[in-house]
Amino acid sequence: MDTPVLEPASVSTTAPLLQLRGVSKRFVQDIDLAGRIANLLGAGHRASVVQAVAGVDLEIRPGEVIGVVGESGCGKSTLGRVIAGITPPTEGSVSFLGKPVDAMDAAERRAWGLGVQMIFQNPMASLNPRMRVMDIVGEAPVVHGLVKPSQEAEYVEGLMRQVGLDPGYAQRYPHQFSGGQRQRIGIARALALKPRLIVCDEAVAALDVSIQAQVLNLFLALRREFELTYLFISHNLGVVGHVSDRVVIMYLGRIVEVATTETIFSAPNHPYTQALLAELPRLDTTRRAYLPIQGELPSPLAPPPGCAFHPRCPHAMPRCRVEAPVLRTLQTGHTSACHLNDPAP
Amino acid sequence: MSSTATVLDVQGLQTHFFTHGGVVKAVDGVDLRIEAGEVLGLVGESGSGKSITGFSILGLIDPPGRIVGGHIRYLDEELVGAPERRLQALRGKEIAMIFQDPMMTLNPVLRVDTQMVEAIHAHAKVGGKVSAQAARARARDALAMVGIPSPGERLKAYPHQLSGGMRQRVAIAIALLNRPKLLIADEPTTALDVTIQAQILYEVQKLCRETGTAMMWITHDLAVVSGLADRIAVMYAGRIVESGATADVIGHPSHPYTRGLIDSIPTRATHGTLLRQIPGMTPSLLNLPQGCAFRPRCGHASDACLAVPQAEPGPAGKTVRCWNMLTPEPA
Repeated sequence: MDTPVLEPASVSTTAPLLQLRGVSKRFVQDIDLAGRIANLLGAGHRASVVQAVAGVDLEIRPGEVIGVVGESGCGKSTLGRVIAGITPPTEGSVSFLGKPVDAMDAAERRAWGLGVQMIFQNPMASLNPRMRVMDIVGEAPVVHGLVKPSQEAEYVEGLMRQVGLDPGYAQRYPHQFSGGQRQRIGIARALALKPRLIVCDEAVAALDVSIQAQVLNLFLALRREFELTYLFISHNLGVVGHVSDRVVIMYLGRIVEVATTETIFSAPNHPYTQALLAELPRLDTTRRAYLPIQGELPSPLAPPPGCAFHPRCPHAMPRCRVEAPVLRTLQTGHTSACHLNDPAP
Repeated sequence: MSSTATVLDVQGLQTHFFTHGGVVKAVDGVDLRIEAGEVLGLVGESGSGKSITGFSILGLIDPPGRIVGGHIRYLDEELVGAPERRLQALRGKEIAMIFQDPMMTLNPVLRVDTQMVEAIHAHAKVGGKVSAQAARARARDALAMVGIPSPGERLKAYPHQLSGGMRQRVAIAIALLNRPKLLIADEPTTALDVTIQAQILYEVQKLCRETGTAMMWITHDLAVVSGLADRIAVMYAGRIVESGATADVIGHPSHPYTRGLIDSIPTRATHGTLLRQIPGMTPSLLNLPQGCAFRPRCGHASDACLAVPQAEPGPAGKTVRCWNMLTPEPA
């Protein structure tokens, strides 16, 4: 390989950049008027509740790349939005640089808001089609006083160069760019606020393979240049295995396994992680026999009791149907929530 | 496999779109062959013309598009210029298609059984009428075949009551109702989760083996077809740049574009390194570069590439369109 090897991230024991403690997010859809009237007559309608994120503890250390993997509807995007401060959690606390968000004063809150930026999946939906690139990228730093209005043009051009866009295109609109270029605009917009942490929510999922490789390389180059920390949300274990230092596997709102990328791929503990890895499409020169796990992700409106994975799990025991497993530390830095890890009673 | 019949033989297919901006050569000289029981993976990025190739075979090209050249032979029958009535009789009966988004292909206001029975009746005239009861039984069997639990109840469901994976299974079941000899699948698992994708791949693999249906699997994901297809054809800007047995195309790519695609796939093994990316982006089909369309992005380009490369026999029985074919790397 003639490609340069990047220095490993400093996964040290330094204080976490961002910390989640018991974070939960519930979305409640209240009963409508018709339902309330029906309830007066004894219909017994209940508000529907989706537990998108349930009791998540996570530490993000400076300089690392955390991959969050799960199927659609597992709550990984909601988790990203809680971390970026877009959605407030229902329960639990988020701490940025050691300080809980609830206890922050206005200046600290602003530092958190600017320090955590987000890049979205669909750049066509996340860029205002009626704004020029200059304004999309330059507006926020000017408003927050990071850049003087007179220096906006120069600042934006510098950022465009850094993400691999021609600065001459600064006066263009998003529709005049290709998908990969639009995603670069989204990256420039996030970088403009000099963030410490960038939440990438399926940031490369909509791109073609060759463009995806370019954007992934850009992410790694920017990480070195700006000492960035990433939370990389993706359903694609291949992408996550490529960029991440640590991987978080989520299932139905809960974290089921956390470990270093090395461990997740070589010694996955949770049956769900094992199933995901077995089904990862690989470049293979031989015909493969697919042996899929059965069933689908249950509806988050009515999660199964006990371990949420038990209806699909090949190792399910009677205990899994009644008792939800807790995250147990198997070794330093490797936790998994599965009853199989418990010593036999 | 050489003794089996060729189900589909496409030669020099050209499908152009005559737009105000100019002629878009979406498909410009495509050669394909699929034998009975074989799975061909047609791989390409967005805009490479892979879906238009599939639509052309079914005669589904609408104006301003038109097939301007080439031949499509289905079991020795020429489909280019065939009367619409004949194509209609073939579509859904002999040649079926599965699309990417099942919500777009299933009628949202009809129950699953209505849609399935309709497909059976539409093609039943030749072999005599099918009773409603027999049609329902066939629909139920088709649902069971693609792994839908309790198919009898699912028949009464509307598409919105099913999950994405279930909907795609229903779409596949409808495609299989009339036991087609050729199935064209256009990115059928792209919108699905990995675990559901694996389930669909498993069912499809089983069905092809059991029924001997030939299949063309159109996708942008080399990893998906590498485990599924017998042969792979890689498309770029309307032309097939490399085709051959899966092991030879993936294991020893001869075209720089195929090599670039394989190197672009992030995996566990590439962790901590930069991917060997292909520079630049897919050219606009309205404004293709002179000669080989891949020339501006290619690391091996030479002056010879200013002329359009012809499909030449390459190593290991492959067909490659390149002046500077890559030699297999020493292992």
